[in-house]
Amino acid sequence: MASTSTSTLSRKLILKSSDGEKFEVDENVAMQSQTIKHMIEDLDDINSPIPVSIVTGTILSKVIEYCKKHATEDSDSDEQLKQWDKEYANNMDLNTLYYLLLAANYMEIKGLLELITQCVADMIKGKSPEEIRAHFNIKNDFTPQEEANIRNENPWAFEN
Amino acid sequence: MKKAASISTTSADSTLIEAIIGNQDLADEILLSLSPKSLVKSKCISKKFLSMISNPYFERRYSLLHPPSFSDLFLVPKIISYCPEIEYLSLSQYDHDHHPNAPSISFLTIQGFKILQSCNGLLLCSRNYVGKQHITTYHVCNPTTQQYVDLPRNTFMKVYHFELSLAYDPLRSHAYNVICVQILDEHQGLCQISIYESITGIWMPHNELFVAPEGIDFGHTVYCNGNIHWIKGSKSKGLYFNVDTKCLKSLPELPTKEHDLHHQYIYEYFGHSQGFLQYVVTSPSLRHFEIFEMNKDYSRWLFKFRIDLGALARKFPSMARRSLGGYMDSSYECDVLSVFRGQNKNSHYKVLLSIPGEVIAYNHKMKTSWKVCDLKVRAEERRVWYRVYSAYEYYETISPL
Repeated sequence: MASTSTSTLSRKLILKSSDGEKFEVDENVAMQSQTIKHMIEDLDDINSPIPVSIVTGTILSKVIEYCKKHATEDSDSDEQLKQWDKEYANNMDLNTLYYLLLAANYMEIKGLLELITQCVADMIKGKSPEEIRAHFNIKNDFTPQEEANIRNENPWAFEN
Repeated sequence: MKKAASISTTSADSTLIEAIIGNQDLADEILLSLSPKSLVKSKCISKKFLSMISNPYFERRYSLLHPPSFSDLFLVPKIISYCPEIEYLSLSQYDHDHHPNAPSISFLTIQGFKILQSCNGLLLCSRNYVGKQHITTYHVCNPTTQQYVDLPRNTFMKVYHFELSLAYDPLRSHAYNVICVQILDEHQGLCQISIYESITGIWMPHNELFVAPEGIDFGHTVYCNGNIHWIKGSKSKGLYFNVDTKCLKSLPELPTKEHDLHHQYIYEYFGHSQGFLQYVVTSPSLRHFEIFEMNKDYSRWLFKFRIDLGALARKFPSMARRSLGGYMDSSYECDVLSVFRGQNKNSHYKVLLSIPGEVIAYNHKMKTSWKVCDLKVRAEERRVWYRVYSAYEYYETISPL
């Protein structure tokens, strides 16, 4: 029946965050997450909320924003989608990026994981070790002598 | 990317970068996307970074995922043998993301290195000592990291004339080989090959002797597909030697022209791009370059296209000045520096050429040509003579020696 196939396409799922917030999303949006895809396969009643236990509501809403955009990607060209991804990632602070990374990793959303990874790689590029430490709040655990040794072994990399 | 299960979620002060660096898969993704220079700099961020980047497994992955892709050239004037002024030709100047850092040319000149061959990021060089005795030493160096090693002298190097070739491909092995062809008898062309392995540091002679084709130049080597190739010479007869199997074979000759049995090819260029050998010839009667490419199975040379030098000279008149001056041999002042092959099946080619004072590029598909850059030739020199250059590829790489 035609009506059945339409209803399958627009089937709704409810995702429940770690802090109890509930989100109603289209199935094809949620299916971007491999973890949820596997959960649905084992689920008898799709009307009951699916727990996304380690992700908070704030982060989950951002994950869903990403999945929605990528579930309907045929409306945009690759170029537009890339631009959207870039702006999406650039609007996040480091803290949010970190939790998004954990969420993308837990929910197995390959595209989002790659986007954040690329975003962090771009932050490292062209920066000095001091700038990278400051940017990411990394503690320098080398003694001055140890650090000098690394620099002396690779003088070409530290020339300007 | 595999599922990354080991991200720590418990530690309260765990930062973004620590979460990534603590996870092998994610860290790999980030570190592998860095340029060699950024990567080496990142070693001194923290001990965690240092251990990740220094891990041999990671180094290997990095080399595999960053196969050397050259974009730039060292140009060494051919005629001046004493302290030639090396030029660095950057071809990636408009591609800022992938712009390799210009290597230190002074490193080569200070060391007194003369480049003999460039091979996937390493250079084979020689150095002359002029003292009581004239001594030449041989070296392998990485111009990016400015490291070099001395090649031990082989006993037969004192007795016979010889030429060296470098075989290095990080996709095959971290080790490199140097192949020495000793010419035992110049008159008969009797030769023997010895192989140096960087792992053992020992020269091993290969037992079989062979007779080399007349006029072949063992000093000009092209290494690709695991083979060392030599062809440069008047007769276009070439040889190739597989470094793994130690097997020496003949390269096919260029197709002969049916209408012109006396047709004579003149060597212009021999190189490789994308795993294919390219051979460019001209002849006294030709007003163009003919570009041939070796079939993938090494069965025959395939004619690919020609570059009409007359048409080129109309756009770049400086290359035709000798013919304007009334020379009967009116050859154009134009030389092939490098041939680039596109990656697609319907490959297109780009050829870099040197003409008096300039480097130009030619696109075979569009039949277009354009100026790439000026050469460092003084104005008064430019009017009088034309410099011929040897071009050596430069790759930015952290390949250890």
